[in-house]
Amino acid sequence: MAVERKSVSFTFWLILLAIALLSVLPFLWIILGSLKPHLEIQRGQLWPWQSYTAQKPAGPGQPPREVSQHVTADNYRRIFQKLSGLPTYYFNTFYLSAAGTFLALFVGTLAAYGFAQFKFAGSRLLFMLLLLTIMIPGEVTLIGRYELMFQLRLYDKIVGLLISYVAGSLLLVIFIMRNVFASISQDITDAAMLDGASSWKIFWEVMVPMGGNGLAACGILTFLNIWNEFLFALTFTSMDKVRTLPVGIFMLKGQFGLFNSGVLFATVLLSFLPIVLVFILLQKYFVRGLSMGALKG
Amino acid sequence: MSAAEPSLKQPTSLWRRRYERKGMLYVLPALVLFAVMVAYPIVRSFYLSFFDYSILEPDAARFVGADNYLKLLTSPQNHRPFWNTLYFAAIFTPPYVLLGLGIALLLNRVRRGSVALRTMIFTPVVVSLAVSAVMWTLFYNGSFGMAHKMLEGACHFLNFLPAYALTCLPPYLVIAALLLFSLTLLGFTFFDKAPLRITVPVSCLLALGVCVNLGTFWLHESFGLLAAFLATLIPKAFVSLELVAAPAEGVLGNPRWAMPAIAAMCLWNGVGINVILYLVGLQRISPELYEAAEVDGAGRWQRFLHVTLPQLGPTTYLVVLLSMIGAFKVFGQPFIMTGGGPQDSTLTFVMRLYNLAFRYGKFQLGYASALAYALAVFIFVMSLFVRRLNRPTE
Repeated sequence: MAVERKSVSFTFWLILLAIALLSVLPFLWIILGSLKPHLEIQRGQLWPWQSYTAQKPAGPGQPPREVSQHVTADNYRRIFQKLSGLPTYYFNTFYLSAAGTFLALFVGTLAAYGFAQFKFAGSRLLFMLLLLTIMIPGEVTLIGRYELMFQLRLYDKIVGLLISYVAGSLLLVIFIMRNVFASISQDITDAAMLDGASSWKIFWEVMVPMGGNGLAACGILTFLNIWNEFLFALTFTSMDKVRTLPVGIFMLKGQFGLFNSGVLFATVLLSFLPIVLVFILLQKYFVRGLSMGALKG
Repeated sequence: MSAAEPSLKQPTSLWRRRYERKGMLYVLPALVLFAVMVAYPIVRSFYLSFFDYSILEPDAARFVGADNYLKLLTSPQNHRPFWNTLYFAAIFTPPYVLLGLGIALLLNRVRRGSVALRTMIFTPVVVSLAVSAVMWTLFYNGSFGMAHKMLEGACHFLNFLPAYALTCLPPYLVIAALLLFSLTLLGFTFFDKAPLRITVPVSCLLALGVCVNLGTFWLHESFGLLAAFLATLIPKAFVSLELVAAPAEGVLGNPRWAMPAIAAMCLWNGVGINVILYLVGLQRISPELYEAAEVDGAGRWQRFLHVTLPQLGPTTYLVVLLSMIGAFKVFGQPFIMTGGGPQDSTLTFVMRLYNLAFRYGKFQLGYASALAYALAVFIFVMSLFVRRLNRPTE
């Protein structure tokens, strides 16, 4: 900003640093905890400087002896041996997010193109109908969809969740992409049309490449939404092999919370690590996509 | 729209109409999916909301008219979830919006390391709600949770703060001032080399740290000389005021602390979104507006009040709307962290819906549908209200 002073305000910077450190503190704490055995976690000895507070009686009648802390990989070993279904949950969630994002983008972009470029009978009415449903919270569809899952024999199936997620993400994609397509100059499509390009060719070779930014934004939003979804995944599944990560970690909390908190720490760490790493690598696109999507949606 | 273009429309009208009709083909897949998975469930839920219907006995469904809606309004079991949800929205939304705005304003000013700071603040957003709920259940744990330890520390500090202030700060401030003064007389300079905006906060922090440390030393229960002295003169309550105390069972086990604790976790998880939205809003304000304001003689504060805030109006509307809707629909966080307890203090509206439909074993889908529609109506009314509030600033 031209008017703002160029000099860095140190106080602002300090405040921001404190907030930023508070934001990452829980992650750090989980990392430390995941490397500790259950007993030391229970005693609250997670930080390196607490290593000499652990006291252990050397024997009857003798003064307690200081013991240093252990750092173990046992928690991780246990996860990968057999104890938890984490790998399955991971696979399911990743599959759902990737396939769901792809399908929602494809079907949604097609519809957005249809609404932006063509004016067929009832197109405006249909679009208004879609616009109306965006006001209705997803919870309203939950019960009807639950029944439908049984009727279509999709309960406890990944495909059921997939269809549900694609349908749920469709609206956002249609709205954002319709705006993007509508902003593309009419001259370009007219020129392509005069050259004899079919509507599909215009869609695939003109519109989609030109809407790349919007597509990326939609993709990121949809992916994150599906990756984080909890209520529908909880309601539409009951078997371990179709559980997603959010539901799975909820179950694991009940399983390990009391007796083996170290494993829970490690589970939490493994659950957030990949997406956090991906975010840090691609943070520019994430932020841009989210802001664009939210402003249009 | 392309059909409005006369140059292409008139000569080939028939071809054009056939062309336009192709649009249906593009819309069709989305429409089928939408009709089956969104429109049908919405209608079906509405239909079911007038029935006493359980999925266990679909044939025993009984039309009850508006009974479900009446029951929903009058049943005392729904009042607690309703007020809990409102309470959550009330304690969550204001800090969520204001913190987002504040951090965005700060980030907008800072040049060095702003990307790193932004990334750190935004990171919790990408962590899924369920994972962060489990994470914070550990974080809040009454025996080893770090947030619990920090809360205990903060309570301790608050309780002792008046005592510190009364007994420790004045003597140490006098000593520090004398020291500085005498050193200045000897020819040392302190505040000349570094600009004031660096030295003042740093020295304040240092002074506070010294005072707190020495205060702890003098007021320590077992060896603090001042504490021993004070204990002979005045009741011990003076030393520790016992204004607040962290619950020993952990915040999530305490009916009074549980909901604020969940709101704090949601704040951590979601504030990054608002920061980004406000940053985008700030970057959209044209610099000319600031220049014009400066020409008119507006100060920093006036520029913020009369340029920045009004220009952020649409962003604020969006942020408030999104966060309020999110707050009314809150389910996963309390469901995972407390399961609605202790003593139903975190039982929210959507959780009540979920319990009625899927948890109590009766699968009362009709009644639960009525609840879902009540939520939809409530959210709709609330968004109208927010829109109305927003109108003057636009």
